[in-house]
Amino acid sequence: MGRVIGIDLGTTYSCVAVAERDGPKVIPTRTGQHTLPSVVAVTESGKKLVGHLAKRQAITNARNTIHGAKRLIGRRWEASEVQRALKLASYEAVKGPHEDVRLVMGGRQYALPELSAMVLAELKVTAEEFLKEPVEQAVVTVPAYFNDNQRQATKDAGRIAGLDVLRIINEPTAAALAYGYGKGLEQKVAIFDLGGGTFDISILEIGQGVFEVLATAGDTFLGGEDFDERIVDWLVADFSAQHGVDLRTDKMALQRLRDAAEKAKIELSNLMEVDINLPFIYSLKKGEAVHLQRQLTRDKLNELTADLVERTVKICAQALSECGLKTADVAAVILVGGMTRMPKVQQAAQQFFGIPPSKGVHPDEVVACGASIQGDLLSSGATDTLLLDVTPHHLGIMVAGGLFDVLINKDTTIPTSAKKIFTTVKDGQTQVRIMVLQGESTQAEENELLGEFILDELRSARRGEVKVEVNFDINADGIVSVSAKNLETGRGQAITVTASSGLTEDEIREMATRNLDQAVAPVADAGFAEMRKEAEKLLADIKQLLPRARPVIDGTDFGADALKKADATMAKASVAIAEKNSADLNECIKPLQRTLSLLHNVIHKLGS
Amino acid sequence: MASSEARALLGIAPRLKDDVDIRTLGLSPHEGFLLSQIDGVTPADVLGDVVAMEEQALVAALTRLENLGAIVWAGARALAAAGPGAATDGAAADPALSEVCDLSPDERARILKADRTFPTLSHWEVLGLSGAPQTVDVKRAYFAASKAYHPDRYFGRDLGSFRERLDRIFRRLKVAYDVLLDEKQRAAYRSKNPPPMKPLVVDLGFKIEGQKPEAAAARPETAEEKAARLEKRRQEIITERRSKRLEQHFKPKAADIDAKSRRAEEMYHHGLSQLKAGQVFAAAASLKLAMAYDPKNSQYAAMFRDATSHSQLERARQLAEAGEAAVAAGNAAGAAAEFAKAFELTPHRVDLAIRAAEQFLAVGNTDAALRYATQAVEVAPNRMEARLTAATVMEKVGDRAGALVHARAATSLDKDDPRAKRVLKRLSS
Repeated sequence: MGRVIGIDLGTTYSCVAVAERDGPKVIPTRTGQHTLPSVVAVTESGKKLVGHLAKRQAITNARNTIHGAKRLIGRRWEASEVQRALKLASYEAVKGPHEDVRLVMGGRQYALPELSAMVLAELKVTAEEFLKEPVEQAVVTVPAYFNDNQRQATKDAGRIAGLDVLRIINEPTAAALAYGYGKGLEQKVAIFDLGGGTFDISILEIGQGVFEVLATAGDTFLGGEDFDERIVDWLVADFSAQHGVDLRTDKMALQRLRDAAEKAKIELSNLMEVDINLPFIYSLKKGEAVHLQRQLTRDKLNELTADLVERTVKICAQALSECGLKTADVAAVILVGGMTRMPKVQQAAQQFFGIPPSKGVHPDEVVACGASIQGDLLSSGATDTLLLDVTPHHLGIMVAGGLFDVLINKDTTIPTSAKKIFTTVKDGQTQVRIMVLQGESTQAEENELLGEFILDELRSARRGEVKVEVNFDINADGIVSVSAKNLETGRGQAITVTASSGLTEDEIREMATRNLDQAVAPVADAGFAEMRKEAEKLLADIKQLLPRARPVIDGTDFGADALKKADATMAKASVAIAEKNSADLNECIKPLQRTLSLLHNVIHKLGS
Repeated sequence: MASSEARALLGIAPRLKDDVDIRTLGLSPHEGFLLSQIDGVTPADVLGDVVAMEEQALVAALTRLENLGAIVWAGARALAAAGPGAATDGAAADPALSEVCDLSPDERARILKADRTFPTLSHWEVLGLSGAPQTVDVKRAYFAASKAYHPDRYFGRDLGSFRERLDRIFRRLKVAYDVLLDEKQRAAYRSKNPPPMKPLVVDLGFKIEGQKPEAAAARPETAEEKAARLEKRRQEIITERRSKRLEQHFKPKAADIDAKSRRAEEMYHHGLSQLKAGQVFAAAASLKLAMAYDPKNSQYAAMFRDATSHSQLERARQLAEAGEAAVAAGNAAGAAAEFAKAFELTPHRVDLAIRAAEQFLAVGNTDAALRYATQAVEVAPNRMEARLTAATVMEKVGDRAGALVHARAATSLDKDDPRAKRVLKRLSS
């Protein structure tokens, strides 16, 4: 049996790790980075791209590039979250056959688990190349706030990618495991996880190698992309005021804005101000090009996103009050997710908990590391460490009046069970419908329906006379079983609630086979071929412009230096192409792009 | 549910083990009664008739007694004879021991034991808590217990019926944890069910680690250790499968039924005449033999039951009488011994336990006094005298906290009793 990998399947970036003898290790992607953009795309020629390659061509191919699939996975088409997210999307979406969401790329519809599977498959291949052995088992993380359907959809994505997902664990729990594993701690910790798409706060207690989740809270629509969107809004509003043009109507311009916003936001974690430059962002009717040029300061960014940061603090307070703790009870605060690099976010966390956040855990990698530890613990039968996970939401049934009657409270350690006695509400009622729901609302219909069944052949009697016992049972894998029993006759009905990912068993199997047909070799080749094509085009353009620009630039020290660097990069790129070295070639693309834009600028100035 | 081997084992007579202090075992009255009937001759199923227990309950009780080390039942030997490693620490003849699944015999025995004993234990006992545990102790105990019994520890293995057992065990732990973790709930539970003074002798299958965080430091397993552990488990599974194959060839020999039933009838009539003559002890012995020869005869069993309970009560009465006589003669030590014996025969007679405790206290044997006082409270927690005695004894041995718990309980049971009031006042000052 092979190794078990840990996968952090993030909204914007994903990461894979494996537990080594001396601790967990992040597996670098084929292009050398520690994280892989959770982006998939289909090119004009019909090739599928995943990760950096897909992200890089997003601008020119926005319609066929999908990012943030995690925001939609396991959700129903009607859900307000889905409609909200789709309004901002640059790609097309349609309603699937099972009330699920399907996204369109390259003229074909894809189910969301299928899209996530493309990212998972890429990570699987990465791990296999690194470990030099087949990898079949994984522990995958999800936000603590995910409901059963979303978890199931993530599990299905794993199956489509050819991975046996041993366990779905919560991201904050994984982070705590990576933080506290083998340290012999006895303390309560808070995991503050602000990622690309979601915010999660979890309070855990660690002692004797046991990690017990005390409380979880979060928001599935609060993350880095919301911060980016604020910057985009600001840029769009400003541009519209200046030129009377709504850039949101142009999908390509919108994609460039988003990239620039994300870049500016990241840079503002280190700088106090950045320039956002987007030349040729829009063409007016007369063929006249309009450029976007703005300066964004850190203060302005803080102002634009103040309410988002405030929301995270409110959710922290909610989590603490749920487990009856004070901020003083928390001994360590662990920051997870790229967004926690933002100084304002760190400041807010520190201010709320009254202690500086823990150093020494890498916010982008800690979750995958924790997942790999849990994978190792489960598969090796370790006896020194144990993760006590909890139910993410209230579980119960619908009762008369459309109300939600909770049988198992959220944050209950699993395995667990509960039973309650219900009765008929009408005279002569001979059957009861048991609708199993999950969620926080007191109104049944606002919660997620997990399954339903009917207990019939009840004795026809006055209302309230016939009693039915409903029994809930959740095992260690989080699988919910519900049974109902007629207390008069002892006759019963039971179901195992299988959360639905929006895909049928047959569909998953078919997708898994299709994926298997394509995954093994082509991904690597396609990646290299795409890069090569792009690099060769850049090289050709540079070579064409260089003779005209060289005499002008060479005149200054700065220019001579830049030319030297450009020559070196071009040489390196040519070697990389000859050697078919994807990693080296990938490193060359950005510098080549910069060189080309520099030359363009120079020539432009010469012309005028 | 009992398989054929389990049924065969019911024909075997359990015998008492020497040097076991049964008072430390925390037995239920039923189990105490059952234990008092074990003489090394009477087969298990006859015992069942004697104490009026269903077959399943009987097997569970005998297994528990055996696991506690109070008796030897051939159940363990029969399994052990079938092959090495089939049973350890006197494990029981539960059919689940021979189920096909990925658990070692040790693991099975541990899980079965917990599954059987946990429902009979208090919240304190389930978590191995004693004295006056605080929130931090409860947490430590729960974490230690979780590591032993959380189903994740056996992840990916085919657990068969043990999966359900583990779930049940963990839920039992969780219930105890939830009640004892919360200070208010803990206090409410304590007032009705005081924690044991000393840790249980029963092995709960987990150890609560040191009180200091450093002591709990977990060292990651090295690759060599991991390989060794996996290899050990592999060997265990191989041995177990082999022993199961052997077991299938093992069948008990058929008995010479005719001769036995003739002898049984003879002893039965002998017993009846003894009973008429008022010789209860002799009658019980004869009837027991009759049953040993013909265990399936319900008439013998019924008569034996009568004779036994008669003789039991008679013996206890004699002992109690001798005890009172010794008290009158000023021989407290002798009296204590008599009362103690009488109580062992009739574990439901709380007054005997109280008398024993009083007399032990009088001669300064505080250990024994504490033991009987605790047992008195266990047998009858709502009896004011039991609580009062416990309070008095604990006060003597210097356990003021424990004494206070019982004194409070005593006064709440009988608000007007002057002795209880006096003790409580003294302790509260």
